[in-house]
Amino acid sequence: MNRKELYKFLEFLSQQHIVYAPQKDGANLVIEEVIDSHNVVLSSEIPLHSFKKYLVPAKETLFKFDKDKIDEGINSPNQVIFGLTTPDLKAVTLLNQVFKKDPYYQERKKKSLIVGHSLVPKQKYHFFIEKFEEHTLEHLEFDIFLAVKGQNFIVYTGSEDGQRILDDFGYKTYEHIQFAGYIKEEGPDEQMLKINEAMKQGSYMDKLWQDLGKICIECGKCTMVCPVCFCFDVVDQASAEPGTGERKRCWASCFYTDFSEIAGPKTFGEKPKFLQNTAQRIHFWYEHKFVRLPDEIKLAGCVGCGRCTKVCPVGIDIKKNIQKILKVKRIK
Amino acid sequence: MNEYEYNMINLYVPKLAKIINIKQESPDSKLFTLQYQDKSEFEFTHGQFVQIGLFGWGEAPFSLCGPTTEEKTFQIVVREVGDLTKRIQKLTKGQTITVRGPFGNGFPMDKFVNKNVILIGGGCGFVAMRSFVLDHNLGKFNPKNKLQIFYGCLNEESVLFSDELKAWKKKIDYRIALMKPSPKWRGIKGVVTKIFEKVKVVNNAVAVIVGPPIMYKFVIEELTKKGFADTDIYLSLERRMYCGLGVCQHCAIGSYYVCKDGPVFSYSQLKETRGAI
Ligand SMILES: Cc1cc2nc3c(=O)[nH]c(=O)nc-3n(C[C@H](O)[C@H](O)[C@H](O)COP(=O)(O)OP(=O)(O)OC[C@H]3O[C@@H](n4cnc5c(N)ncnc54)[C@H](O)[C@@H]3O)c2cc1C
Ligand code: SF4
Ligand code: SF4
Repeated sequence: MNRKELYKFLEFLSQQHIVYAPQKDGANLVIEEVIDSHNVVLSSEIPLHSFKKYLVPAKETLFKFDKDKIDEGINSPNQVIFGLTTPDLKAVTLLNQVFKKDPYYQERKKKSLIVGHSLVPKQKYHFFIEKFEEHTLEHLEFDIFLAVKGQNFIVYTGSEDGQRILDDFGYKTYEHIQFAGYIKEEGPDEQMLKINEAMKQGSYMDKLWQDLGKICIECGKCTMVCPVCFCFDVVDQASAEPGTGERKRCWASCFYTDFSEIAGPKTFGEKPKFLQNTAQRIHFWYEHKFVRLPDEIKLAGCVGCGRCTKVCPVGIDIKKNIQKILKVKRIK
Repeated sequence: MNEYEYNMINLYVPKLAKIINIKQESPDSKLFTLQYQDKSEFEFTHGQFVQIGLFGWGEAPFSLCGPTTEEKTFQIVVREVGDLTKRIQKLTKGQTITVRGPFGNGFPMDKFVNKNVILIGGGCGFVAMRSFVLDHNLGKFNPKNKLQIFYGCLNEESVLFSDELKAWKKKIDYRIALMKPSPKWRGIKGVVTKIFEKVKVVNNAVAVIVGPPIMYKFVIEELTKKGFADTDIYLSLERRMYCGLGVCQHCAIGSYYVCKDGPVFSYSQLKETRGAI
């Protein structure tokens, strides 16, 4: 497929879908709705704000209630999330697992066409990212993948939906990749297992976390931009009419003090909570990524996109921290 | 993308239940007897909990505390501590609330088979033990196994299930300590660990502790002194939770989720996890 055909394909897609794709917003690359397909940027730069909000919205309605009646109304529009790099496809693959039994996510996923590309980010923030090779595609979930070759693209499909849409568009020379499971044949990622092991032997009392606890200002920006972070609250939003309203699911951040608060008598004006200080909170964040997710689904909760490092106002660098986690030698 | 089966049950949508009965248990706690509006059956095991909610006020976890022998009705005790619990307490017989669950692993019943059991409860945590006590008294378990209860409470007024105690005491070794009793109190005075000074703990036993977080450390110390192995001490933990499905992360501890892997954990499971207890 050449560039001209690609723009045509984007226009074809936008006839029946809302298309989101990387575009420039000032100095930043963002993934937003496409109005003019010529604004779409396919580059090795990772958009600062990820695709996340299109699959896991910052706020979504679980159901409406009216006295004792519940209206589930699970429905989402047809959408295309275009131009994801391989680390972001990894994040999609992970979210697919986490929300495997979640009807809201699955509905959105069913209505979404995911289009990835092969340009590999080079900037200093990234890590964990492998060079693109055809066999890496076997372990990623996507619908269409564009492998960049000079000015052209080699087109792969990863699902029947992807095949169908290309057929409808009239593009025939794609190659289908059979999904071989999200874990590679040789087993879970070794680096991930090492970090997992090292994290389990330590605790938030270790120097690394105590040091980070002193500088992190708990702004939560890292959790917002991270394509993997998916913690949430469930809250009711009452409407004007008594007894009516909506139950909503909203993004939460483990950096916020209310995250672990429970009801009970206050001490020094504060409710009882289990994550007491910044060191505990940032440790909890890493624990989710490198202990719980690997234990549960054999995937690290970090795809190495470097977004968190880029937005952190105090310069906390996840790549360096991982190196520190791995370096600690423990005497058993 | 549509590789997955997606005709799935929506676990976020609650079922409606009717309040069949309400009983004031203590100045701040009420016992609610509930039944699904569609009259469907309710099955659970000791130590599990449900997410109880009111539209407009959200949901929160509450321990199931009725006997497991009832097919359709189930019970919870709600202590008034905040917004939702205040609203629930205002409800009257016949009104509806929402229910999701039951959730959690419950008590380690297979560990109890040839063992005596000691339940140690503090404050509101005592609620979680009642369903086991009721089943025990109904003769559901091996009659050879003894049941002992140590219960720590504030004062006479705040003792839960006080009008059932007479019957309970015939079948179990029930001991209580009051922190701030009236001058008339003849029993043990102080925190729950005081009971250990006065009463012999049953031998060959498994212990389950449910109570406010500060209690755990001291009770574990006492039990360890009495020779309990870490694998014979169980704790039921309280955490903030929303989904009940091990996704939202609020109740996570180390590699565990309180809603899914707990709320009941063995001490050996949690010992190495800083911040768990
Ligand atoms: C496994 C388990 C079993 C429990 N069993 C009982 C019981 O049998 N009886 C009883 O009275 N209480 C029990 N609790 C505590 C009960 O859930 C809280 O008292 C209740 O959430 C308070 O809600 P509130 O809105 O009145 O408090 P507020 O302080 O006004 O609000 C607390 C907010 O945090 C949210 N939240 C979520 N989880 C919790 C939590 N665990 N504690 C506090 N807030 C939470 C609530 O939804 C609410 O939005 C249990 C808790 C757990 C985790
Ligand atoms: S933790 Fe940071 S580097 Fe890792 S996936 Fe999230 S934003 Fe990217
Ligand atoms: S972005 Fe940096 S300062 Fe803000 S919460 Fe994350 S680690 Fe802390």
